[in-house]
Amino acid sequence: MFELDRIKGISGAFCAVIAATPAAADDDWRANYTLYGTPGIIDMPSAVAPADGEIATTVAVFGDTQRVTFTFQVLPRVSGSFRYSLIDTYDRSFDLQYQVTDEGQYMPAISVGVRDFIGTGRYSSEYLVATKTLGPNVRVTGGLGWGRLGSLDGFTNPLGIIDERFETRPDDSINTGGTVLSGQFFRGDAALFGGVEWRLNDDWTILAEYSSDIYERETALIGFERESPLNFGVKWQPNDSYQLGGYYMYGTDIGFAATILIDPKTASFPSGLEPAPMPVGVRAEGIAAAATWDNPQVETASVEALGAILAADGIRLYGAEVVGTTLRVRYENDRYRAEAQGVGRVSRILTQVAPTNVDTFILEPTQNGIPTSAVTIRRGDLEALENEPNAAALSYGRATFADAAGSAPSVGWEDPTPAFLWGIAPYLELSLFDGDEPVRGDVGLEATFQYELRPNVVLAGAYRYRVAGNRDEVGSISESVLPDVRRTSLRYGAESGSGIENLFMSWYGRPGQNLYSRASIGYFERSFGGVSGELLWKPVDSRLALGAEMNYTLLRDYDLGLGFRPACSGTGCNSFVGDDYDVVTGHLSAYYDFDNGFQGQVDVGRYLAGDWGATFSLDREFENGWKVGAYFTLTDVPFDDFGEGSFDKGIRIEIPSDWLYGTPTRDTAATSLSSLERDGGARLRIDGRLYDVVEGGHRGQMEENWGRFWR
Amino acid sequence: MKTSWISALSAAALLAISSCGPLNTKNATAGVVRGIVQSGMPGDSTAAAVVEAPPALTRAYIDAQDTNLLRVSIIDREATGLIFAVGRNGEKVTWNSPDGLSFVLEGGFLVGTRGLGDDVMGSDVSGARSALRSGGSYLRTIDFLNGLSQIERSVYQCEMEETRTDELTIVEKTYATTILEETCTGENHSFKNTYWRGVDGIVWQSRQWISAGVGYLGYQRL
Repeated sequence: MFELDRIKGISGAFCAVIAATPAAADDDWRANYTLYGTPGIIDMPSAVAPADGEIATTVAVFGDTQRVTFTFQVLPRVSGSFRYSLIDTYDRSFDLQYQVTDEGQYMPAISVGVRDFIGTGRYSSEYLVATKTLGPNVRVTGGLGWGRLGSLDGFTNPLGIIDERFETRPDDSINTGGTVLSGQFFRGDAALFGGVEWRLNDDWTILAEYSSDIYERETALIGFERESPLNFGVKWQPNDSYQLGGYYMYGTDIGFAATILIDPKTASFPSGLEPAPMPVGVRAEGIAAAATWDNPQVETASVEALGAILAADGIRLYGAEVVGTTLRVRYENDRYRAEAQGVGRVSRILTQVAPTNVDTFILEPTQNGIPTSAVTIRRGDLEALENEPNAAALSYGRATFADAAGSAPSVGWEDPTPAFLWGIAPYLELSLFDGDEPVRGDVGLEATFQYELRPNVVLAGAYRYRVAGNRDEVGSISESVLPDVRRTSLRYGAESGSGIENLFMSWYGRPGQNLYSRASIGYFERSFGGVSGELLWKPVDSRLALGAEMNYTLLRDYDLGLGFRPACSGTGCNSFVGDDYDVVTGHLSAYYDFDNGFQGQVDVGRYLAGDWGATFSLDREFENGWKVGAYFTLTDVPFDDFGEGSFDKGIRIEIPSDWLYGTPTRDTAATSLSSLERDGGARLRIDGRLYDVVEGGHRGQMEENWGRFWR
Repeated sequence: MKTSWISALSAAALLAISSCGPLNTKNATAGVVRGIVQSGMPGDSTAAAVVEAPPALTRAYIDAQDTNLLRVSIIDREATGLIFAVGRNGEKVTWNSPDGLSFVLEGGFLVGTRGLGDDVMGSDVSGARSALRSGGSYLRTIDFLNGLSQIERSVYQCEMEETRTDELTIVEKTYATTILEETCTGENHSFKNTYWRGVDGIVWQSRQWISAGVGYLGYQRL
C-alpha cells in the first residue's frame, strides 16, 4: 500500500512563478523535455543538458500512465529529477543524468544516466546516449540502454567483456524500497534506441523516436497495448516559459505533456521596484546635520530624527552613539532580503544625519534582536563613490566586517510600533501525491500575533480555522513498532478543523564573541511542544559554522489544543495507553558554505522516535535567494521498521518573494517534496533556528549581495 | 469527495478577501494569493507612474518652485511627470519623483536610476560628455543588476554626431539648440539617444535609453 507522498507548502507559488518568469531571448536550441520530464525526445533520453539552474515541471499522460516530474539542472552537466507517477500504483522515482562531453564540431554530446535508481525500481534503467545537431534545425540521438531501456530486442550486455556478472540483472530492490539500486546498474541485456528532433521554426518541433522499452509491466498489470516501437510527437514552445506536446505512442495511444520552465537566474524586476534610496549627503555640498553631538539635546534630537527616517524605510533603529569621529548604529532591517542593501540604505541616511565631525560609520544589523555583524564604512568613500561606475565592487573593497557581540550603542530609540501585533489572513494548505487522494487541501483563516517583551524575547502564535477542504479524510495509518511521531501527522486538526498551529516564546542572545544562542518554550509545531535550546558558533567571515541543539518535547493531542498524548498503537493506530510520549532530542551540526554557491549541512544526534543517526543535506543557493536542495537521514531504525521508503529523504525549494513580485520583502515561499513522512529520522520543526537567523548578516552573503548596496 | 461545489466556491471567495491586521504582510500565503491576483490584472505594478504633471504647466509655476524641475516620461510605460533636484554630488545631480523614482544626471547624461525594476546602477559617460561638444566615437559603460543581484557591466561602442539645429520651446521659453544623435552598439543591446544642446552646452531636452526592461527616458529641463 502506497500512501502519502506529500508536497507540503505552497504550490500556489508556482503559479506566481510562471507569471513572473520573463521570456528571455535565447538563440540556443534548448532542451526538449520528455514524457518522463527529463531532457530527451518523447520517451527516450538525449544527451542535451538544459541551461544551468533551469527548473522544469512536467505533467504527462498517455494510456493509463501519468507522470509528474520535477527536473533541476543542478550543475551545468548534472540533471536531477524527482518523479511521482501512476503506473499500476503510485510510485516515486529519482533520476540523475551527467553530460560527459559537450557537443563539438564533429563529436556529439554524450551523457550517461540512471533512471529510477532509488526505491522500488519500476522505471529502473540506465543509458549511455549521444546527441548531435545536424544543421541548424535537426538533432539526432542514439543510445544504448539497460533495464527497461534494454527490454526490446535486448542483446547480451557488451559490458560482459569486462565481467561476466554484467550479463544478468539482479533484482536489487528491498521490500520497503528506497535504497540505491547500484547492484543492478548497467546489468543485464542491453538494447539500442534513438530518435530525431526536427525544428520547423522557433515555436514548433516534430519528434520521432525508436523506443527500446517494451512496457512489460504496464502490459501485464494495466492492460497497456503496445504494437510498435515507434513514437511520434509534435512540440509547441511559443516562449521560454513552457512547452506543450502531443504524441502518438507505441502504435496505440495518444499522449500529452506540459512542461513549465523556470530560470531562477533571471528575474522580471532584477533591481526591484522599491523606492529610490536617499541620496548621499555630501559634506562639501552642504548638509543639514549638526556639527557635533556633544550637546546631549542635539544628540537626542538627532537620534530621534534618524530613527524616524530609518523607520520610513522599513528599518528599525535600536541605538546610536558617537565615539570620537565614529558613529555606531544598531538596527534591524525588516524590509530588504539582502542585508547588504540594508547596510547601503542605512549608510546613505547616515550621511545626511551624522554630525559633520564623524568620518566613520559602524553599522550593526540585527535579526531577532541580536546583532549579526559590524560593518565599518568610511563616510568619505560613500561621498566619493555614489553613482560612480563600478561603485559596488569599489565600496565592498573598502568596507570591513567584524563581530558585533558588544553592548548596544548608548543612545536608544523608542520604537512607536506597539509591542503587540496581530493579523488575520487566509491560508491555503495543500498536500499532494497522497496515495488515496492525489490532492488534499484546506483553505481557511489564520490568526497570528506576536508580543515583543524585548527585541530579542518574543512570544508568537498562530491559530487556524478551516473553512473548506478535504484534509479531514485521513487515509489508513500503517502499523509500526515506532511511536507515531510523524506517521499520523495528517490527523492533526483533521477532525477539529481548527486549532493552535504554534504558540511559543523565544529568547535570542549573544553569549560571547562569535557565539549565538536561542532558548524556546511552548508549542513549536503541530506534533510537538516543550523546551528547546540552541547554541551556534560562527565567525563573521567564516565559511564554517558549528551548532548544538537540545530539546525536550511531548507529543501533542490531535485536536491541536494545549494537551499532550501517548503514542498510538494497534491496528489503525487507534489505541492510546500509557503515559504521554516525551523525548529528549538533540543534534550537533556543521554547516559549510562552499565557494561555488553550494551549502552543506550535517546533523548528528537523536531524533523524535528516540533513534540515533545523521542528516546530510546539500543546497544550491543562488545569490538572489533561490534555494534548491536535497537531504537524507540515516538512523539506527532498520529499513524494515521504518517502512515504505526505508529512510527519510527529500528535496526542497525556497523562492524569495522579492524575486517573485519585485517588491522588497524578506519573505520566502518554501516547499519540500519529501519521501513518505515516517517516524524514523524525524526532527523537531521549529521556526527561527540560529543559522538561518545569522547567515544573512555575515560576510559570505553580504559579499554575494553587495551589488544591491547602492540600491 | 465531501467537498461540495458550493464550499469550493466559498473557498475561492475567501481567498479573494484581503487580509487584515498589521501582521498580514508577513503571511506568505496571502502574499502568494495577492501575487497571483495581481499578475492577472492589466496595468499591474510594473507601471510605477511618475506623478502627473499639473494640467497646464506654466512658467510662473516653475519659477515658484524652490528646486529645479525636470519633466520626464518613461516612454514605453506612457508615464509622464515632474521630478525635483534633491541632491548633488560633484557634477551628478539626483532627481526624485514624489512616488520614489530617482534619476541621476551628469552633464545631461543619465548615469543612474532607482525604482524602475531594471535600473541603471552606474554609467561611465566621460567619452560621451566630450563628444557632446563636437561629436566623435568613444566607449560607454553601463552597470546593471542582473537576475542574481550581481552587477553586470555592459560596454557599448558609441558614435555621436550633430544632425541639425532646432528652435526648441519649453513652457514659454525658446532655446536655439543643436540636435545630436548618439548611436551605441553593445553585445546584447543597441540604442540611439538624442540630445538638444543649447549654445551654453546645456542639454535642454533629451531622449535616452535606460535599460532593456524599461526602454527610453525622455526629459526636458524646465
